[in-house]
Amino acid sequence: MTQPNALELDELTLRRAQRGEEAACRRLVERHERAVFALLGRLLGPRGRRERVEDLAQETFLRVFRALANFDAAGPARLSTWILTIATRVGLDELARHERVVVPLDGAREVASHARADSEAERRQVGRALERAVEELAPPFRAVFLLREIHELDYDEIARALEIDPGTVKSRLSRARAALRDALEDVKP
Amino acid sequence: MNRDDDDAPIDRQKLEAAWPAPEPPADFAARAAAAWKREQSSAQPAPRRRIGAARAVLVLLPLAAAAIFLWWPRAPEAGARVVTSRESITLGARGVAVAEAGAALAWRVDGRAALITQDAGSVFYRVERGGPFIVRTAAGEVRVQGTCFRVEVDPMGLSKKGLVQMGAGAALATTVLVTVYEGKVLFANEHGKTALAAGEHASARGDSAPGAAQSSTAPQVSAIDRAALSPPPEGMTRDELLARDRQQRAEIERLRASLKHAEESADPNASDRMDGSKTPFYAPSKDELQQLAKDCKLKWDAPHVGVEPQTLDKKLAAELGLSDQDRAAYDRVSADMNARVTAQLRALYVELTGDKTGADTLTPHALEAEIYAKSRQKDLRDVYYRMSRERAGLMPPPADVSSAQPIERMQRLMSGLGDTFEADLAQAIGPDHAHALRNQHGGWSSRSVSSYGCPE
Repeated sequence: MTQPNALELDELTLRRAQRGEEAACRRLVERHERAVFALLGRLLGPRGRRERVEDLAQETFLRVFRALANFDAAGPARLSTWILTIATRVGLDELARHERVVVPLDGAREVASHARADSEAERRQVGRALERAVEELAPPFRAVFLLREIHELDYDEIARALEIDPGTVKSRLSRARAALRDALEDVKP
Repeated sequence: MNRDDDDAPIDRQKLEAAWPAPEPPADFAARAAAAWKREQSSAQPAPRRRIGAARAVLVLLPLAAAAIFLWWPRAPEAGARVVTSRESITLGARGVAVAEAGAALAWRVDGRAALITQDAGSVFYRVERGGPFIVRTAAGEVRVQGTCFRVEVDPMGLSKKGLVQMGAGAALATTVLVTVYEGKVLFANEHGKTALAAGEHASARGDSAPGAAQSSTAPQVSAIDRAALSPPPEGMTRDELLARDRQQRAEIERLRASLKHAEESADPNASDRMDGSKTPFYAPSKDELQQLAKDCKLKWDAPHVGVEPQTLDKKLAAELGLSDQDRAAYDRVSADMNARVTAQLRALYVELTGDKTGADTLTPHALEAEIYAKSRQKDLRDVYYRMSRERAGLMPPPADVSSAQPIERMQRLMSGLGDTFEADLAQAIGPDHAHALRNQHGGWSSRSVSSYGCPE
């Protein structure tokens, strides 16, 4: 995993992107697209099919560019955090617009007790269980979990991103982790 | 980075390894940056143009008024007609229109200028030389000076699509065919234009530029369409014609519902759904429909509509016994649908917001989201209330939604898209294959259960 600081854009490129230079904008996207796709893909769960994620990712970066001129590189938020904040809101808007549609994933729990296959099969099985467990979390809990566990934002950053207080971040994260642990327990061979 | 957890975190590397995320396509960054560039370039000059246009209007308005006074001293001639049998209509000094039964048109001739609005049917025009002569249709304008031509307006789009997309607005569902007999005309709409000379013809829909009409791609008219489009008996009044139209549309809806029910009853995969239920996602049981109506909730599936059209995976095609030709046909139908729905969403967005510049840069998903976001909550609740009750058979569908709010037309478009796409695919690869593709995972890829609450 790349360290967070390595994700940040150099100052010159950022300034050029803030002026709307296409090459710099492309660099900015290249630097952050993987994180945005990962966040949106996991946040949306089964609804996050590749094409949908791509649409939302484009929407995220268009919003980023529209507001980029006002981004203060010397401010409290890192560029990567700020972009993930926007991506999170885009993803949560999408989830809020339509209720979640749960499509069970091939009965991972039932298969679990018989799991004696190779590590790849086990990995897939764990992945399905994780995905299902995260999908069962309400979107705000899911967002906290992903921003913390995958994207390594700290509590304050998550609180600012989701416009909630840090205490709520902690309680949501704790609940999400418990649900995930339960899910992983179920798939241990 | 300092961690500030009160309880033990989950191993992130294991988490990421077990739970892979989608990767961006190789050209995503270039496309995203280009989209932003387009948005910038289209957005920046707009205010200046508007200011410039406003100044021009202020300066030119008195001149235009003077010109109208001097050039068009005669009282305008105007009229409107829903034609029940062939009729010749004199358009002032500018020409003659020969309207066939079923045609609906209104005209206004101000001295040298003639403006005809043709909503339906076939009309032959003979135009005398003079000022501008314009025939306005839902799918574009025909501008002409001194010629003979025919304009055929089919509000149903001349295909089954029209039946399921009535909610998408008249302009988008209408197909217009222009045939020139003498002289030249310019057939234009917001998507493009084409010049036609004698002996040439072109067609257009509200969502596409006028283009040469070719017999091999001529729209097919189904039996149901024929029933809807058949000319009415002679001697009917306008009100009787409108009542007949409403009756026909309701009958078509009923036939479609019956057909769908029959197809589902015969579905061999009906007991093999991902969620274990006996009905597919897109066809809830009667009980479920009743419950959805009670909750003012809609449930629908739709194929992917996005920046790029979805293509059919080779492996999946092979599993379903589809040939390479079938796969190519799928990709073609998918691309057509993607372009059509994107254009429809843009038109609805512009109608709702007036923001034409934004419409050109937003993705289909963003357009849809913006239409939801910018519509009134009350309208959303009303639409969901009525549509959920229609689906449960508790109230009839409306005969005509062309004047409904954009949100209603969009909701009807999107929640009917699953059926439309399957019907389009059925024509290209056969109904069995189309149905099998939809049923592969219990419905098309985008599935929604949605509600905004019931009306208060």
